[in-house]
Amino acid sequence: MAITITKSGDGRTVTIKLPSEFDFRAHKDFRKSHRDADPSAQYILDFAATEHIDSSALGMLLVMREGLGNDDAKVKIINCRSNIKKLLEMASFDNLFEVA
Amino acid sequence: MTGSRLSIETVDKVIEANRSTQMALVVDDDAVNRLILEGMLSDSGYEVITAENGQEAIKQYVDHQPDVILMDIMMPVLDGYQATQQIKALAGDRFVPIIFLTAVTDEDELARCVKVGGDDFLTKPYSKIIIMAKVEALTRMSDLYATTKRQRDEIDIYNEQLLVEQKVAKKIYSRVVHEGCLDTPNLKYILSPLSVFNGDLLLAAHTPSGGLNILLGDATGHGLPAAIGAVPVSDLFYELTKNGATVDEIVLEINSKLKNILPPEFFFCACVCNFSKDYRLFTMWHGGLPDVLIYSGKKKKLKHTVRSNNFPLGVVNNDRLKTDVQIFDLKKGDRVYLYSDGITEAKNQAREEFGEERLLHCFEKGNSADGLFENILETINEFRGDEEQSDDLTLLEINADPSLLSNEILDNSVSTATLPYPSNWNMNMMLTKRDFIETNPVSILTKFTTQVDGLMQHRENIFIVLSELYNNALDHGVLGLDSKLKSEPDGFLTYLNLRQERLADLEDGYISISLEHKMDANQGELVINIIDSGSGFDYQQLVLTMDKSKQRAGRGVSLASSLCKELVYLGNGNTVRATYQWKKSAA
Repeated sequence: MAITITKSGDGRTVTIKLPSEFDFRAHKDFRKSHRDADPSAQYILDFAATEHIDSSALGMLLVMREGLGNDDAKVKIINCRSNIKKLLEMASFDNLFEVA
Repeated sequence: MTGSRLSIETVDKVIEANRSTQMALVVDDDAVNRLILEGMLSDSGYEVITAENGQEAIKQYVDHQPDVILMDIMMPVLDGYQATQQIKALAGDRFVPIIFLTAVTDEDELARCVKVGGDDFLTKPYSKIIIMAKVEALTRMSDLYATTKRQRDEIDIYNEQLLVEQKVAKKIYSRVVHEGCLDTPNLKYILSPLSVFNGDLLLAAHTPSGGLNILLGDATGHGLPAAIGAVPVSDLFYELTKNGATVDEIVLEINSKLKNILPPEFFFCACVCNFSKDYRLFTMWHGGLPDVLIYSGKKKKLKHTVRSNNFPLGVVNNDRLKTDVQIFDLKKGDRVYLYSDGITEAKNQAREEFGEERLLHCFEKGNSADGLFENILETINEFRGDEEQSDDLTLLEINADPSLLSNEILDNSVSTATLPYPSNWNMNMMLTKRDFIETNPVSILTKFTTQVDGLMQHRENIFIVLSELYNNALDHGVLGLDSKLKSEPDGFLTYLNLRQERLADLEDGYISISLEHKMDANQGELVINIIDSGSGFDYQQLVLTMDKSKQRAGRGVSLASSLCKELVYLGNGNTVRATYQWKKSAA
């Protein structure tokens, strides 16, 4: 399943829906989803369909965060399954991203 | 006829554009035919050579390697079929288009042309347009074939070069990223490389005081990028261990190096740990790897599963990295297990993951600890069946039993160069808010103190005593945090959050550390005095819990106390004095 992107009417909120396997194979599509992105917009990464991620997914999240201005990046992670949430917490990523 | 002339001009133009020094061989026993063909081809820019029979054609082919051959069939000495067969055999890998010239239109005859290796045929009488179009088409094909062949050869050479380079790189890599002392008898490990290089990194080295430092790392990705990142990690780990650096110092050095050199998507999940020489103390920093497991050899069950609560190495700058280490006391025969996610993510044929539960189940059988390591591997292999491995698989077991070690290892404690250092001295350090946040006084003091002659070998112990007492003074004294919080479910996280909050809101508050060092010919003594600005506590109560030694809250102090000759709380509990004593080793 591919990555889908939806923008709110005013373009201030971008929701990126991630695939069921979010790993290195999603690299190109994921990168495309926020290339030339507006750093002031709010990004929402929707993990609802995601069953599995690997460490390269964490790497991709870091690249996205850097592209959006590191600590100024507004990226929110939503709808994580417990195994993914645990993985994010293990790497302290809940300190870098808002994990809802 | 204008149209036809135009076409010929177009064909000529196309050929001229492509022409370099294309050479055609015309084979015909009829001189008139040879002349006609030669004329057409040279008009179109071809260099033309000729032969009167098959035998001559072979010789011309060998001598001149023409790009295309026009071949008559019926000829004296050697006919066109045989000549074609032989030329094709001689050409081997090279593609030489051969066009048969024939007066017949018999289908069997035409089929034979193709069968012996001919690429096309032309029927007489000759039309320039058709001949040149066919020659041109075949030359194009021949060019394409040559290009493909050249590219294939280039890839072959490149591939061979790459393999040679990888071999050399592997040699260099394994010299830098060597296994250190993983052959120590109380360690068992498996480290299976997925490719030439390995995303997992397992390092072990003895410390100057005879303890053991271990680093297990799992790089994002595999292969070359992961291997490149492993080089500085390994280099720093061995260098720092040799110099007696503590776990938190190793973590900071490696983190800052990786943060500087790695692109943002690359980082190392890692666990850096130290075992004291007698394997009674296990000090650990944990960033992003799966839970570390501590198994009680006596009770035959897991006594701790330690979850990571830090960033992996190379993600954030040093100022955002927490370097608080966790310290555990071990009993003889306890086992510590470190592993990478390749273990829990091993898949079976149904693409199910092995998972944490199955792993933990291996520890619940109540079997003797001796076969546990092998049992875990067997269970994973059985689960996986024939399914191919998709990630690196690393598992390490440390048996906390120093009696397995040869005296050689235990005596291997390097005594570092001993310049004369002052032997009787004292110093004071006063720390306030900014220092609590920005500095690591424990490291600085350990470094300073252990420069003293003979103390280097006690570095880990002194680090533990200082670290426990300082952290207690800060957390429970200055910040007034209740350690009972930690024993509640999810309490640890609440505790850490609260700690961060109070540290940020702190207005005043101090910790005063004083060290007093004395030494005579036989023994030395270091007295550590720590006073905090907190309101103190009922330390009579602590003594009791220490005796029970079960409660988490008292564990740190009880650890520190077990290392010291004496550890007492004074005043209203905001002052602690620890006396550390050691015999001078015969130098």
